[in-house]
Amino acid sequence: MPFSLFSRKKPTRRFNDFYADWSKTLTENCLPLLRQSLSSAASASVLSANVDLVLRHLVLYYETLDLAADPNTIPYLLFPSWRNSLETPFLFLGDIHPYLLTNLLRSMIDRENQDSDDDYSLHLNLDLVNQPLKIATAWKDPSDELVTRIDQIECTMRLMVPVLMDRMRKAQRGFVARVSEDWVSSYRGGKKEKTVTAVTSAAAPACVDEAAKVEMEELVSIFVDANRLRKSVIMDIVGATSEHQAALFLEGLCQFLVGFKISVSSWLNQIDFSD
Amino acid sequence: MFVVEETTPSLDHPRRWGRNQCWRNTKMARAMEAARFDDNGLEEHNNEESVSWDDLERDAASKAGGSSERLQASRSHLNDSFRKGDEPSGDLYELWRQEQNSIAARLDKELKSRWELDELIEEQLSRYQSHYYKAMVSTSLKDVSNFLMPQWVPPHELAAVSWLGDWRPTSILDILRVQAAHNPSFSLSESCERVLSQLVREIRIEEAVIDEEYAEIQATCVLHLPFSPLCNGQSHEEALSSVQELFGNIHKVVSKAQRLRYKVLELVMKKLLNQTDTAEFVVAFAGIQDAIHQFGEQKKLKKHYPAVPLKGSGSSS
Repeated sequence: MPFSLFSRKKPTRRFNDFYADWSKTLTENCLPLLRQSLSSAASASVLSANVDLVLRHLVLYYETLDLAADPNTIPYLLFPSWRNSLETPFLFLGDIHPYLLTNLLRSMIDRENQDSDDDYSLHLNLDLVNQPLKIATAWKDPSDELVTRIDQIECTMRLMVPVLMDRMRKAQRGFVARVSEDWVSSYRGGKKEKTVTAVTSAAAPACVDEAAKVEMEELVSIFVDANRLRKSVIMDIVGATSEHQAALFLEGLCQFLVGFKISVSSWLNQIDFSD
Repeated sequence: MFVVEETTPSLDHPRRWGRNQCWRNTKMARAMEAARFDDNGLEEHNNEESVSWDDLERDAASKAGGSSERLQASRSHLNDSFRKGDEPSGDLYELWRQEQNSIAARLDKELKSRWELDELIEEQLSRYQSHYYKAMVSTSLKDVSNFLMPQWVPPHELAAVSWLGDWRPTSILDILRVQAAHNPSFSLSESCERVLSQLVREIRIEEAVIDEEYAEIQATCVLHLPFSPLCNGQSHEEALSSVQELFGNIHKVVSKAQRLRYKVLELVMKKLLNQTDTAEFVVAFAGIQDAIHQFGEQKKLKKHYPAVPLKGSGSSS
């Protein structure tokens, strides 16, 4: 929305500009900060402060997404043009799939506890070869409390995701049904008056508008709920884990989010299944 | 009705013979009835046939609903003609023959237009087939992405109907349900409506299965991408093949969704609906798609891009 002298609206900026800055901060500040604090040099308080900072940065993203969502803008948020070709197939209601979060956490724990015989965990991250033992073994033998908590988080999430998908399906099908009803009656009306020359009448988009208004409002609500779920799962995981574990989890998550951005050029032209 | 059934099978298009014969005969009766009432001179000569015509009329009236008034009106006209008490003469016989030929010619035309209708329907079905099968032949990474989020489809249209890049199969069936409920010229029988409800349930399950498969890729397989924290130390070849495998899986899921869309259209057009209803359905599907597309284009022109307050600088610090 452009800001003009004649507009009394508060100054705004396009969400994609915000996102570009946000991603840059994630890549250039958050990830290096976490890696730094996971090295031996960092004190516990620095680690804690940095975990907080990165968590706030992630939360800011979801809160800003919510601010940007309204019935007019929701399609752009569900199908974001600012995501690259590598990312778009992995979008679930406009962002990462919530299951990814707990799957990432579980994989980190599982890897550490299954591969105990080899020294895989030691080269788990090349940047962290000098990390203190506390961090290298952070996932070793997780507490029963943590395991139970992860189960709980996962359980809640697995109840909520199907509900979101179901709502999405109902919203879309409801929209099609409403448009169809209007279309069928206007088509029949047109038939009676023998004025139908083309399949669609000019009035068609007007009735689509009405039906779309209802649907878009529901899509905003679904989108906001999906973001709330993603946000709360990240916060719950950070809350349930120790500071070292939280730092490792967030580092993994940031690495993953950043990876989509920087890897796309290397795979874009190389992947082809047409053979 | 049975008169028609016995005398007209050879007139029907062979490809569609055997599907909904009952309905077809009613339609045929209606067509014949319409042809007859348009031409008033005919009735006074078909005294001997009047029993079977009456049967046809009753049947047509009971099926078509609202046309009974018209039938009543034409019946009284029929009686009037007979009351005149004209004796058939040579002239009248000649007239009768001419009129019979004229009716036959018009029926012939109707039948030909039916075959044309059949051909059009077949053509559209094969267009659907190539659309839903062709779309995923060439598949680079960019193609997969473009398929799921096509740049050429307005975002509002995508948000409104898109499921894995195109219409939900259940939404396609919803159009049919709306037609069956709101379009009186749609002649879906009760048993067909039951089949339709059953089909909606089954296709919904198939949609859900595809959703599950896709979620598995989005939430679990995605962790095998080379930049994942779980995949450090992969060689370039390993990384390339893992991306390739992952996108191959997405491609498979999308192809399944495409096949399901075509399967629904094929079932509807070949098994469930008769010829006229199929034509009505294709017209409605095209019209509704077009209306939604136009709506999307209009919305796109308004450029309501997502915006946020300026203070959200993208940095939390």
